[in-house]
Amino acid sequence: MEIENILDEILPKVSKPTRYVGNELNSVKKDKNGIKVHIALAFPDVYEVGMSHLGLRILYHLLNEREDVYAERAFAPWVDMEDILRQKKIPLFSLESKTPLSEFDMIGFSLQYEMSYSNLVNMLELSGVPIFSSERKDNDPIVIAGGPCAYNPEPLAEIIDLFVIGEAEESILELVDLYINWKENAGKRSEFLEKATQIPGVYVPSLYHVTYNEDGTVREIVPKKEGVPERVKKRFIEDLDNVYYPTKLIVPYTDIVHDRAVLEIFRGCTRGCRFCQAGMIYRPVREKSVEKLADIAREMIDATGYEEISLASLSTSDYSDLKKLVEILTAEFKDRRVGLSLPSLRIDSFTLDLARRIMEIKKSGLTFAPEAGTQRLRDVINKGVTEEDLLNSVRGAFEAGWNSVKLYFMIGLPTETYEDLEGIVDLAHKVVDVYRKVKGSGKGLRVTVSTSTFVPKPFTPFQWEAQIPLEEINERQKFLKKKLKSPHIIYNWHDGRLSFLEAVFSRGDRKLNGVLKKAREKGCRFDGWSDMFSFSKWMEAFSEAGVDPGFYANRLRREGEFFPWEVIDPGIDKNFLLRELKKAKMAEPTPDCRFDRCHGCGIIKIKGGIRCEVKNED
Amino acid sequence: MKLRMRIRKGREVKYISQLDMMRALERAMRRAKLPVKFTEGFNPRPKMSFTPAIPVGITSDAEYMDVEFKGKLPLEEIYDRLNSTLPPGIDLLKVGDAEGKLPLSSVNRALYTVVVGLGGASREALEEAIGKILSSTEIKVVKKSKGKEKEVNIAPWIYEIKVNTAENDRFTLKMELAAGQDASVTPFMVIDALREYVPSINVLCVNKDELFVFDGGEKVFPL
Repeated sequence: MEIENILDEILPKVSKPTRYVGNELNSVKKDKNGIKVHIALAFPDVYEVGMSHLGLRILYHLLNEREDVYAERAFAPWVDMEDILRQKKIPLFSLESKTPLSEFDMIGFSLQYEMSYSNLVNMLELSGVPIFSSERKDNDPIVIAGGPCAYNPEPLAEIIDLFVIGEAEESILELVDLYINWKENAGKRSEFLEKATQIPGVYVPSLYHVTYNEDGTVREIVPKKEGVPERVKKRFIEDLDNVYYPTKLIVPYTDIVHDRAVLEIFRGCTRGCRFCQAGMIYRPVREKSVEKLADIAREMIDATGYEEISLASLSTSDYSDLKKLVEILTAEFKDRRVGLSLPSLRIDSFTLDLARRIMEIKKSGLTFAPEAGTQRLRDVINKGVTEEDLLNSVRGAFEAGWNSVKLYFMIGLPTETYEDLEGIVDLAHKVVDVYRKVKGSGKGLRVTVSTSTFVPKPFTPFQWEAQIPLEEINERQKFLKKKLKSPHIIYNWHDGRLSFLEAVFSRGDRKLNGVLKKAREKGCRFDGWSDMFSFSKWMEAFSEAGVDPGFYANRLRREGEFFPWEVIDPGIDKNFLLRELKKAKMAEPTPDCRFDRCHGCGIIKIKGGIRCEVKNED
Repeated sequence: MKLRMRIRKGREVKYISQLDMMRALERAMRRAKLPVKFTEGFNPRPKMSFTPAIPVGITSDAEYMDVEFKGKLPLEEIYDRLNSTLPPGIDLLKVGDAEGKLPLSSVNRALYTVVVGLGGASREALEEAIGKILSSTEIKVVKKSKGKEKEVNIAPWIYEIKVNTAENDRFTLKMELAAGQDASVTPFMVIDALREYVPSINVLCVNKDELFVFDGGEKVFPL
């Protein structure tokens, strides 16, 4: 109540005050006294970004289904609000009941992006919760984290008490039950953490000992106590049709990044792009049925009134019966003026036809992701798209009336040469030529070429590879800037300094915890926001902590090296990854196992009884 | 049929923008399965129109919206169905036929309740400041519109300021101000002007009570 009154005074002074108010339709309010566990779901970015994240919404509604649990939301306050909070000594509070985060039983962070780690540390600091796990007392909240970045937990291992690895719909409830039991018996913090390791998928870093080799690489990570698992297996939901899925979604007032009803159609992907972490860690592929999806969509629109449904997955066109699903959804919602959008679509003649029919995508232009400029390099990364495919799809799009296309590429991929960069330039110009042929002139055409820099990720075939040095990133971007000069082409690039830091944290180890604290002390936060990012502060933090960032980003690993993230078991064999790396070096593709034979990625071994949808098993 | 609705914007939603409010109403009507008419063309929009936007931070009992429906529905049913799906803080106060009523774009005045704290200043000082504002012929305010700053004189658009009630340091004022497409003054501008004379004055809350057309000595309400 106290904070609520202060808010009336401070909110008129900040930008976008709606970020801090809550009260949205379908948000949950409970009596704090009638519950057993109070959980803050914390997202280390602003409201508009965090509310666009499906995982947060699933866990929020899942936890609040239970009467004995109250899950609330908390986001990173924007810098103007942060200044006021610090000035007035107001602790960071939850959105629903405006309760200080330090009073919660648990704070659960979602780790979607390495460059949000400074926000995470800042949120703990603003909450008055000690930053390091070892400094927390029995009455401090248990600090939890999950999400894709948790697959390498080590850079946050001294900050987070407990990681939940993999899909959390089941493990989070098991954790809540354990917590209630422990709290009723008035146990010690250390007892809870130790017991939690018995829940599959839970990693408690303080219960593991890390030793290093003389060259600075990790020798091993071993449990300090008997009974603590040596490796933590990721959790995943076996039956997606019967897993909880929220339909009474919160409907924000303010315009968030993705403001629509999100319909998750499947998890996992077997395309096997060699740079892609999601394609490895989210295996196996599991779909929801068309019938189930239609039911969910209907309930969602009834409960939210959203004007748009967006299908969510790693690759929409890989859904087994996309055509039927789209037909059912468009027929159902036409009269209610609900549009359908299909992101992550691999554009080919079939999907183009779908897109044309639903028209919804037309507004935003079409996006193609060839990722690399030459066939050789696309074979290296196992991106099964040919130039012919691309140009045919683009032609189809132009003929159907589109005049704006986006092309996504990565630079600095393993084995890349300037010939491959020339390939990006050629491809962009060929797209312009196709338009001229279709339309007779280049009038109205806009081709946006975007490049990001390759970041080697844990549990991918490229986890052994080095990122190209920062100077080289800049050189290659400069090359493209010079060559992509055309009135029809716009070139965008991702800041190389950010890609460098992403590479450091994605394959970092425990030594980075100290760097994070130092960077935070220097004022780093919102690093992903270009106007807030300070590379020099980060470099000072590394140098003061005595840590060489290049060791993590730019070092080629040897085959036998033990990686810090290997304390986690995502169900993918290291040998499979190594085989894929070797095939990459020979530019040899590996076809999608859904339509080919089994390539032995190892996922069928993680849990007895699961089956992959493959034609032949080796 | 074309309907006119009077809507309350409560404390829970006082920071949302006009655009947010419109979106919230559109979604509520979809949840209520009300047969809203849409515009034709490439990007169909619901046929809805609103009275001019109010600054964020103000609650209101006098937001009006015209909306077109396909076919006819009893007004009570619309009232019940929409109220049951509106989010917390937004209420439908009244619904009626919009035909034959004055167009929403013609409203030109609003009545506000403004609660202020005086920070120790006396009632006399406040009354005196109000007298000065009401008798001035020129009060310059810098208005931002479409990125450009423009200096305007708001004095002719402040019609009435009254001290309604007083409780210790809290004073409730009633203000009648221009609130139309051609001229509009917000209570915050008036408070800024009062601050010239009573520097310690601060706003505690503002509510828009009524919106109407003042024409030839008569108040005409939209619904």
